[in-house]
Amino acid sequence: MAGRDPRRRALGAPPPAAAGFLLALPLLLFLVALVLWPVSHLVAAATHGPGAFRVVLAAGRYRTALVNSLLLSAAAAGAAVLLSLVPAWVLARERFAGRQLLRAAMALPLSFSGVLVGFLMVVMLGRIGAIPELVRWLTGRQLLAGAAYTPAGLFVAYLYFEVPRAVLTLEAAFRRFPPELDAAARTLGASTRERLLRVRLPLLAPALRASLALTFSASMGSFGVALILSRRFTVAPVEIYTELTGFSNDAVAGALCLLLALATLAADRLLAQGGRRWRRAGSGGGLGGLRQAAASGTRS
Amino acid sequence: MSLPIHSPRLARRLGIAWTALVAAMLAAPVAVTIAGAFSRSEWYGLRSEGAPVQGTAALFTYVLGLWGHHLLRSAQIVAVVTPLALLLGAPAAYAFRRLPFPGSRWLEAAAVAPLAIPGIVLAVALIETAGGAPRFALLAAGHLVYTVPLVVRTVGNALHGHDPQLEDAARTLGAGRLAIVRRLVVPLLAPALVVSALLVLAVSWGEFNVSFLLATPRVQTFPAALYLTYTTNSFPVAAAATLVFLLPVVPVVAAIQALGGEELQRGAQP
Amino acid sequence: MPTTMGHAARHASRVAGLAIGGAIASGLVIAAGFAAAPSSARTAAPATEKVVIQYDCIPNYANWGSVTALYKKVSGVTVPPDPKGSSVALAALERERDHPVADCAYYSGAIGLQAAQKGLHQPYKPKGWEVIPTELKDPAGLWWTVHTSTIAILVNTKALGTAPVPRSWHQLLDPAYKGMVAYDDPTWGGTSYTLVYGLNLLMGGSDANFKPGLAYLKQLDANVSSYPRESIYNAVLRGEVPIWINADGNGYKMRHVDGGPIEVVIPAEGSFTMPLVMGMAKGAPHPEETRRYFDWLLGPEAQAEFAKAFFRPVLARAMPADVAAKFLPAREYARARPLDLARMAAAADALKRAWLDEIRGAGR
Repeated sequence: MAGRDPRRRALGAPPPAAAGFLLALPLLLFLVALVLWPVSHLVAAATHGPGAFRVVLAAGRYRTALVNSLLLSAAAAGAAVLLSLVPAWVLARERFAGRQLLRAAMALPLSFSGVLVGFLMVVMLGRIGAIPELVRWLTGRQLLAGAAYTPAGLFVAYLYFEVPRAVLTLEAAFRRFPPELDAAARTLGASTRERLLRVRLPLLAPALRASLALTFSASMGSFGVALILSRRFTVAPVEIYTELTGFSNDAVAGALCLLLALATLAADRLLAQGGRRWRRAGSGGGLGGLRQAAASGTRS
Repeated sequence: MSLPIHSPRLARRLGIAWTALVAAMLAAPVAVTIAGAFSRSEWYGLRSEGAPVQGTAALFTYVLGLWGHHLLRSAQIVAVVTPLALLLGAPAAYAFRRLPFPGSRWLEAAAVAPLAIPGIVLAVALIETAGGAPRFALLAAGHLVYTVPLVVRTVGNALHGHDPQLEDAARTLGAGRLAIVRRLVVPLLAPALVVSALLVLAVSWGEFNVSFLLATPRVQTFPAALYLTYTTNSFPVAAAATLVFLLPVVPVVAAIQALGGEELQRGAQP
Repeated sequence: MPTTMGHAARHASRVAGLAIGGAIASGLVIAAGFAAAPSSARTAAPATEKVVIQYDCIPNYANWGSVTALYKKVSGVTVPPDPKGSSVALAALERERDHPVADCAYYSGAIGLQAAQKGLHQPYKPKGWEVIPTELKDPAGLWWTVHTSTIAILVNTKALGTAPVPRSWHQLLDPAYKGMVAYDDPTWGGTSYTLVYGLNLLMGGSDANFKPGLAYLKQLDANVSSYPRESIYNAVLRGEVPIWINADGNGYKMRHVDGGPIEVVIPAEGSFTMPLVMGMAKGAPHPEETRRYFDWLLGPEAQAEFAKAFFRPVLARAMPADVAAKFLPAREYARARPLDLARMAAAADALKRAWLDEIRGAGR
């Protein structure tokens, strides 16, 4: 008999669930000690009385900062995903010379911290940035100098760190996109527009939502970029920083932190939930029929 | 499969051109910075450092003299955080997928959740609750909070992709659990573990949000020092410091890419 | 199947090896450069060296870069740079009350007084205490003036373009200067807080009435490009910011030491002198080193170094004659008056808040 009796082995070995718990225990302790405990301390400081939340939600600098964060992050996320659709598709499905190089160029900014992105923006669009200097040299006109410090400049900076994230997320999804479904739809007579709306979009919707969620939450938490670039247009992380370092105002800072985190989580959940519902709807009816057609097509 | 334009070849060319344009726009600022570090011209204005600097080599040694200790500190933190993140995250990810226990799904979700906490929030929370701890430990803790979720997710995804029946088959053939782990699971997970390690390296090296508020004049990471460079030093010095920062990261990011690249999506907190 | 697993694993380790090799190679290059760096240029300290932590130690403000480098040469003690403004240093000391990190801090006068009042300092009277005028030090030794300066308009004439050099506070309101003006965020830096407080008094306000000053600043806001939370010394020198309202010493240094096209203007309506003070933190981790550092700061060597950056040393005789000659004539400085530090400290929190609400307010 080649090896020991597996039943006897199983009796001696610890039950899998306990082993699993032991393996995950360090992580659990780590989360409790270094995340749960400190953050709950902050939450306690913020919720010490309704005062802090009332101050933050009343019209004024704090509320504006939160609203700015939401609007800017949403706009930048949407624009980034739109801009990234074609590059992600091309990188996922086309083969051409230089593909790896382009992919590497897309991926490099992912390791840049916010201050680095801010610095790069100043290099390009500051008061004597590369682009205004180039324009001045070519046309003699003073254009775009200091653009980095405007809300538009901040928006462009956000795009700079969001496009790589969106491209890589979408590329992974596009790579997994089954071409047979699209081919099946074409043979069944669907027009290009119909194929786009009723085949590709439903299949890609989860990935689109995932990349929107990722870019949105990256923007909401972005601090370094705003620290370097934001002037008049303020965002929530900068206000948190000001309250903490200028005034030691833990209550207001804590309230801002909580609201920021809640808004980010809510958007994340919203996009995830929507994706799940969509997937459920798409599995029946049209797509299901297509899958069958494709399956039968490939088998024969 | 093609883009919804009439001529497939034209569509392909346009698509590649657009992609190349986007990539170029991402690379351009870095290229300009590199040029700035290697040019000795006064293009970006006067230098005022309190110390005269002549020549490219002198520029780099000046930058390293100024910020070298923070560079070292960053390296020390990365060296500590990378193995710790793997130790905390990989076994747990294995447990979540192969040895589930009551509450493991909840714990898995909780393990990834810290990514949503803004870095400055965590930094303040850490100072308030553990301010007496050595700053290095607090920095390592902060970095771990943002890298362990990446390990859990990467290893988890890899396990998701592998059929658990392989391990079951090995077990029925009589292999002990330890042997299974050593000779089956680890080789299967090797790419994912390597990618996780590289990811942790890249993210921890570039981490700013937590490190900035946890920094003291003595214990600082290089990205936090970069902020000082950008705001107080002249452009050539700032550009040179940026290059010094980027140099170790480029091979790491390229390697992550070569090994799949999907896991790099989240990147460092901007 | 074993071949596929081994294949993937081998591929992964090969790539990882290359990556780590690349990272280590670049690390070695950097280490070589680091080793080649002259040790006198290093300002950050490894754990074994002697060190004094000073909050608010900005290298090109008041020549702290040179001063700390000189101290390192003279005593072997490192004082690392720290970018905190006065108010941020105060907040940091408050936050770290139970676990002090800093040994001492440097502030603009009123903020230093505030810190002392909040119990964040311990008393120490450095050698040469008698030299300091009474109004520029705390009787118990909780804070003392290391040098003084005057608020002025610093103008980069090249970046100004066709606009004339502004000579008065009211001229600064001219739309010709739109987007050209900057002054530090007064919730960050003490120099700007002095500016805001002083302007309020100049415009007819008082400790109880901030409206006149804030009204002026609100008008000025139309011309302001930013309220930086860091020193923009280099940005002004480069011409990125044409007009900076800050300490006159910085302007003179830009002009005479760094050779920039900078002009220093004391506005026609008047300006304010500002003492810059040091305080020893309560519970300082390196008390002995800090006391020796303070003694040296008040000595002729350090004071002369501050003078080279055109900040008036409190040890008046340490000011070299050639440096003194480069200041604007005394009649310009007749318009600069000192402010009451105690009243400034008392009004600090309220005025900073009011500034935030009025200037930054909703939508800013």
